[in-house]
Amino acid sequence: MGESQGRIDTQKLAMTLAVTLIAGVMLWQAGDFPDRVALFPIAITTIILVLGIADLLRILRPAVMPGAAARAVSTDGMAQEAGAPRATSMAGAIAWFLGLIIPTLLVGFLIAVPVYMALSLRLQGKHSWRTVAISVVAVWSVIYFIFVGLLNLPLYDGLLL
Amino acid sequence: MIDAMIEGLLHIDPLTLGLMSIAVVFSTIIAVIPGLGGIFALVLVMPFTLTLDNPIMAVAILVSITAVTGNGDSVTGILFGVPGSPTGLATVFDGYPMAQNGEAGRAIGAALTAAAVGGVIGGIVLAVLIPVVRPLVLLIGPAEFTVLIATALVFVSTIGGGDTLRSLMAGASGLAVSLVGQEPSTAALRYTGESLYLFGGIRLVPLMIGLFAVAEMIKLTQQSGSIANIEPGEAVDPRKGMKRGVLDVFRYWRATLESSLTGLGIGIVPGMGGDVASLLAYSRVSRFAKEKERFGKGAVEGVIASDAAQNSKSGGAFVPTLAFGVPGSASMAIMLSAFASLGFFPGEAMLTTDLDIFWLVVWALIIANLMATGLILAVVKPLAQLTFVKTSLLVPPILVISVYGSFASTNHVGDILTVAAAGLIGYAMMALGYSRTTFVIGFVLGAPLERQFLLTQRLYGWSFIERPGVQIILAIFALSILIPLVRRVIRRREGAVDLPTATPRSEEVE
Repeated sequence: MGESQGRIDTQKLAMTLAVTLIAGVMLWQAGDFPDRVALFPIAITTIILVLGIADLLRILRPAVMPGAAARAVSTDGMAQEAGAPRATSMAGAIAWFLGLIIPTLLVGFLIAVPVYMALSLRLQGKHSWRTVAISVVAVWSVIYFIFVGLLNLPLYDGLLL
Repeated sequence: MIDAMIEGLLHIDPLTLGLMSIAVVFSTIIAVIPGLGGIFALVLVMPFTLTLDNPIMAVAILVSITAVTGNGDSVTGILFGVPGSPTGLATVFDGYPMAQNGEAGRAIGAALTAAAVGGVIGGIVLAVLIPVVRPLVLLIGPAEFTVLIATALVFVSTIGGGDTLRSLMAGASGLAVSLVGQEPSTAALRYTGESLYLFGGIRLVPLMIGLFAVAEMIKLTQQSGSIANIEPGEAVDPRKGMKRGVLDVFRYWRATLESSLTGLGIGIVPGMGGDVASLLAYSRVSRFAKEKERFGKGAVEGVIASDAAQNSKSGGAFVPTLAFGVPGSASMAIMLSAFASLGFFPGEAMLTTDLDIFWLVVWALIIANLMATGLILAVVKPLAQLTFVKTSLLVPPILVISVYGSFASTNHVGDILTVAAAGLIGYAMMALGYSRTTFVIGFVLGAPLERQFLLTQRLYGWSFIERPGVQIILAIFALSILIPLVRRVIRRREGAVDLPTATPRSEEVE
């Protein structure tokens, strides 16, 4: 890492820009609310806009002001932690997470949970089939017998089933 | 008062005590695993407690989890030099050297006993403070509450460490997210689009689980190996010398007492987390010790100071939360919201009609601390084995339970989408220096702040600023911001080096 002139932290820029834009949209929509209902949203979104613009100016300063140095930042924001070896990239970690969410939405917990766990433990964790089987059965038992059976909590069935 | 105290204790029947024990076990296991921490345990358990028929049990369980999150993380800090959470950092300074000197058992015994004593002192002082605080609470009107809530949020953003501007943005964003749904007094819909799900607003449970539990799991997915990163055969037996460590807490009673009071004081101040409490207590004890050179090399007083402060902080943190409804941390914000869901409202109601619930909190704090210490002392060796489990084995089941827990609270698919979005946003916030703590506090305080603000407007218009109570609160707030600022300017002029503040304090801080 090191410092370089004119480098903008694109990730922070994107995040601040997104927050500021959303606040702007919320402020615009608040114009349609009745007066009493609009008062608080207008106050809060205005504050966010002001803070967001201040942060954007701070982030863009290295590019706008000659001679101002900006810290160069890795594109993987979490990669700065020392010590722990990396198994998966940021995109990979997010993909695995979505690999649980999307199947759950489509086919429900009953199918998504054991499939996700088996694939995750086997492909990503490189665990033995024995470990995979024990883990899947253990987690599934907890969900089915304790949460569903004992506490009468529901299971989501999925959009397709 | 005595009746309420007894009634609070009687709420803890055998079944409730049993559930508290399970909560303590669960919280301790989570605390031992670095990276997870107390708030993680809280958000995982909360959806299930809200489904219980008896809200009293739910309160006892949630308080038990909050009370003992500091107990387990000292174990990994002492054995492996890896604290379970930032609050356990100060324990490592002397605990790990003690382990390297063959005194791991003594360090663990001292840490856990100090934590229990600190927690008990925290609970007792919380009980003693309430008669003092109660008349003050009854004097506070909507104008004072409005200013109190607003200044607390700004205060947390500015003194919590990390990037102040982004913390303020995060807090304000939390307030903005709380606006989604029906406006409380008129039922007018705001920012709901065509979605029936959003009529009720963004749900707290999936939001919290996503921001804290899921975000941490995404981060852990990127790591390989186990937490301890050493072979099990290389580990020290944590049981040897434990009894001596237990006695050390009473031998060094001054360090124990002073650190507990330090932790309490820090807990009362919004925005000051457990790491601040333990670091300040450690700093204080080491500074005034006769043999200062022993600190950092295995001084048991250092371990005692850190852990006593860590646990007594919880008692202090409940004071503003229960008395004023102003949470000073993410976990207190979640507690506040859970209490409201269960039908218990901090503030005047908690100190008058629901005084037995307040006392339940006190008793649960004390009992949970004692239970946790006894438990960990009994099972410290198998507990330490958890740190040899690979992260790739831990993450999938925790993610599954997290997503399922989000859904189970309201049985609506929208909660699965909420937890997914919150998880990704929480991960981005962690990576880019936006404070999840101030976001959560803003979210939880949004509705009460708006309610008090609108009531204030109706009663006083903008002249509410002239009220004496409001001016006192604003003056205290201004001084608490200006004094550290002036000190920093003076120190810079004198040529002192500023401590780095670029790294955001982890939202794991409670």
